[in-house]
Amino acid sequence: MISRVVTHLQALQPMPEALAESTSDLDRVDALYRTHADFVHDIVLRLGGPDLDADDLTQEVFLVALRKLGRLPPETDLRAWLYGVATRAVWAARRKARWRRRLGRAIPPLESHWLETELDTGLAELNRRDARTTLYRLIETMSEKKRAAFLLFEIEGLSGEEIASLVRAPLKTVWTRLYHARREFLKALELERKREP
Amino acid sequence: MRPLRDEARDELERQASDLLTEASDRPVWTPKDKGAVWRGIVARAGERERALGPRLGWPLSLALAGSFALLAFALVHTRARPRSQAAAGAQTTATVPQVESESSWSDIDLGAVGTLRVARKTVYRLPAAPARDYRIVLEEGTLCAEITHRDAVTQGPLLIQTPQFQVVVIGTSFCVDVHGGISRVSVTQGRVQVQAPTGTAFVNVGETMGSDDPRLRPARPVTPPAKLLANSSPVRPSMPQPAQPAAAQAALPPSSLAEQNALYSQGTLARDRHDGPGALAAWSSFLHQFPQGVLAPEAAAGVLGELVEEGRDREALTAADDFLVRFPANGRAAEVAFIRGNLLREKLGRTADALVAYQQALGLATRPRLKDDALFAVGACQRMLGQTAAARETFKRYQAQFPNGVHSGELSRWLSETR
Repeated sequence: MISRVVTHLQALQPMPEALAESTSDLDRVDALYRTHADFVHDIVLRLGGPDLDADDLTQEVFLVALRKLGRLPPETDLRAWLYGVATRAVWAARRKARWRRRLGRAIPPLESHWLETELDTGLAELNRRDARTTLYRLIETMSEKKRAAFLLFEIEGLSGEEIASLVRAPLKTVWTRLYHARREFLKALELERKREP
Repeated sequence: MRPLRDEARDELERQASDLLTEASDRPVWTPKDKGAVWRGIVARAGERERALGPRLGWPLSLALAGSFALLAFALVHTRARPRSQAAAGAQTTATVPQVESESSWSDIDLGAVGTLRVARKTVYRLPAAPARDYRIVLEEGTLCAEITHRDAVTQGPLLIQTPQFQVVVIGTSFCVDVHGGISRVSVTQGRVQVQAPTGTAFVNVGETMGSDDPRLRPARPVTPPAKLLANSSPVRPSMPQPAQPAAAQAALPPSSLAEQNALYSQGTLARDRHDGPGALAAWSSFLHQFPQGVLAPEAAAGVLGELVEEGRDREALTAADDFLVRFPANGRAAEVAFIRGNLLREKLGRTADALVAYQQALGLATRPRLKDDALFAVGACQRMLGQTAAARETFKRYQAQFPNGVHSGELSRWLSETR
């Protein structure tokens, strides 16, 4: 509930005067965007899963950058900093998604109503969608840190060192999180398979 | 858990590997998508700047931040300091020190009795020990309560005593506010009885009653039956009156942000407990009492969500209409317009009206995903209405704007098949 109010309030916060007056900060963020947009988009796509809008979250991340970039120390690792902003945006969006999911349950998405019954949706794409949906459902209850390590390693294909650098944790910690995440994932998959007829 | 046999473990790991491989495929993010997202960033940055100019922005922002602070600390412990002054009229609580809450909001667990939420600077006293009539004295400030249903015979009612009246509770959710010599009670669930020296009345869910309410004034001489028959009004004198109209609310002294937050958070607490009717009652009460409140759009959206959830489609449609009239510039207006379209199309079968609603959503939407859905819905409605040429144009526009959109695959096939 509080997160919703925070979002509500953040949406009303004015732009800092310095940013509103000049385009220099926008130019800096533009440069940041050119360099890191793909990376941020990948992160929010992977961590957010199929229920969240990766484009929208990418916008959120760079809007935060627009507000805060001028205040960052010069030695800041921008990639790691953007990763932190992106993960927080995803966590916030996942919390907000509860409200939307409730509406979504009541009124199923349009695509499932009209087109899939009338037009031949590609089987391969359907399989991919199913796999994504299943995967994110299985790891829904995993802690955010383990979930991030798991998705970045198994799905995004980052190395342990890269993940450690992004999450600013020792490499051993990353391996530990990954080990436990895999166990939880296999356990969840096993339960799911047992429930299937 | 019993360890799996090796073959079973191998099979499970193979399935896991297949699932991960299948899920690893990602939608292509083209340079065009990337450009659209950047334009969205620039547009949203500009919208924020325009939404609140520097003159009004900071004071309002500070006011809102204050409101948030009240919420953020709502669940923090209370440090209460004793005060020597005794509350007038206290009976069973005479030996208990009076306290004045210092933190923004404090939650007090009353065990089997229920829970209290007390606003900052509220002066109140709790009973020393559970008594048959559990009496809380509220001298000044605001408290909200969720009271577990009480057995009227064995447990007796819970009483909230203010300088002006006494609220008699069997089991319900409500807030009591004492401010400026006037006491008010707002009921979000169930109903309570208000007993004042001048009269007694019931307050039902969604209603507010002040100690200056005409219902608590001494009854006028009973109207002779003949006159009652001649009177065409269907309201009998003994029946509770409907909730106060907005004009009467506006005449009341302005309520604090704290009271608004308490009432709003009652709704969210109820929703989080999957108590839809409770959430609906709390947010409806909020909108009734604070139609221009800081969280009014949130409460209105909450009402809409609950009505949809409960399948009350026509009421949901009315709530969506109301939201769009009252908060046309709110960030959720586009989403509400889209939901309105879904209700019209799917639940009420009014495709032509749904088309207008989706067009409105499309006009209001700033977020790419919602634009994507709204544009698609416009085309689909046109198609359902037999406007094939218009539908084709809309779908082509969709393909141009969202080449990797959620519905682009289906549309390509449909367009090629109907060429």
